[in-house]
Amino acid sequence: MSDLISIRDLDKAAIEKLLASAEKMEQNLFTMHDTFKGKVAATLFFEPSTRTHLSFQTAAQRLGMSVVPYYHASSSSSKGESLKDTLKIVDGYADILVIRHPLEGSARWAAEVAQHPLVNAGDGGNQHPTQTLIDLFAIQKAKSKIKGLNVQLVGDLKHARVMRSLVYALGMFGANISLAAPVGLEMDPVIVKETEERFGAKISQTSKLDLADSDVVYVCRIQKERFSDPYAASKLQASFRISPELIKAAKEGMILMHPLPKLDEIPPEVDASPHAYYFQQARCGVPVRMAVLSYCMKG
Amino acid sequence: MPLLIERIQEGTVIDRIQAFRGIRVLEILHLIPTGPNQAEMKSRIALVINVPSRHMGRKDILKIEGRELQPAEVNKIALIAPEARLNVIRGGKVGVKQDVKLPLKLEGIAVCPNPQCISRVEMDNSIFNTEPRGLRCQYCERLFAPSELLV
Repeated sequence: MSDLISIRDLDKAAIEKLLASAEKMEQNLFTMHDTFKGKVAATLFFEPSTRTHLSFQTAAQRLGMSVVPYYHASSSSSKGESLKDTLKIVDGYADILVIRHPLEGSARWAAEVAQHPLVNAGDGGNQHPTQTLIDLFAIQKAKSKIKGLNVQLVGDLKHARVMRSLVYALGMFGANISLAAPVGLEMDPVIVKETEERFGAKISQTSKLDLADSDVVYVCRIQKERFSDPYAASKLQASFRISPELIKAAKEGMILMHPLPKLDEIPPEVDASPHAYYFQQARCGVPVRMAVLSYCMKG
Repeated sequence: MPLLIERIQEGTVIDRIQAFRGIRVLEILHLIPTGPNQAEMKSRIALVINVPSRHMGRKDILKIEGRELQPAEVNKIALIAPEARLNVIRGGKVGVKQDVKLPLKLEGIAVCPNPQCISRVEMDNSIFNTEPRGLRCQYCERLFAPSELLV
């Protein structure tokens, strides 16, 4: 049995294997219910989530597992129980644990505490490895490749854990990466440099939005919950909006991705655009998370 | 009047410790036993603080009688005393002389500077892995220069 904590723990071959498994899961989405019959998955979410939580629950159920969901607001943690105690208790009930927690590194530590396999569903501003796998899967599905694609990451690149995981994986897969962030919300230069040095990736950076050369534009929202001044966050959001006018400059076949929830950064009018790909992207969540759960259960 | 510390015949001298960090070196190397183990302690230890040094200006020196510390053990202090030098004394002479270097893994020595790191909140330990470009926290995965770590 294995844990999945960080995209940094996986090499390219392991990711390709997971993506191939996800493809099989997608083809057999409704016929896998005997795979882990009788097993129990616990989903521990200490932060709000819709897609990640629901798709993990759906994935576990499609594989035949029962799901015990844990909600922070209605649990003993809200009475002050330590995370370690909570983990030890839930580890005694379930065969696999899925955790989202606001502190960075919480999943790595939780995996040390728990004896059963554990999947990171987001640890603060650090990592969101299963979202990255979904993104790679979705790109490959739309474009049949990742290597050589011009991928632009747009938005709050400083705080979004999705982007931290994704830039690393895109570098690993040989994409040409450009980063567009408002001033002050640029990606940590340590991550940029590491991705360049480790994979020989080409990464350019700008503070202006220009979609003309991109095959993939990946947008994330301004992470208001990580700002001390919500007004400043709103102002930045307004300055980095993918408007219908802006999208006219995109080349044919460009796909517009977003981990969702999307707010003002992509207005509803864009949903009808042939470039809008985020809802298809979100649907990849179930087969990819089925592949992840299966990988962790089997090791 | 010079401060004289007796030479040791067998044991370890750690020289070139950054001034005033000798006490922290003692803690990291767990050289002072606690509780009932204190009665069992045979060796004498001398810590000289704020010694004039041509090389460093000021330094601390630690002498441990009757115990040879291994380089792997002493390397744990490289973070707080990067210029320290280990001298193993045998028969009153220096047998082994070696500068400390950062080990591949530093456990329980420093605190992660990231206030959002789980190691700062729920844990009573920290682990950093040495990489070519710095020290990476095993938990929050952030990379730090050695000077950034809280020791």
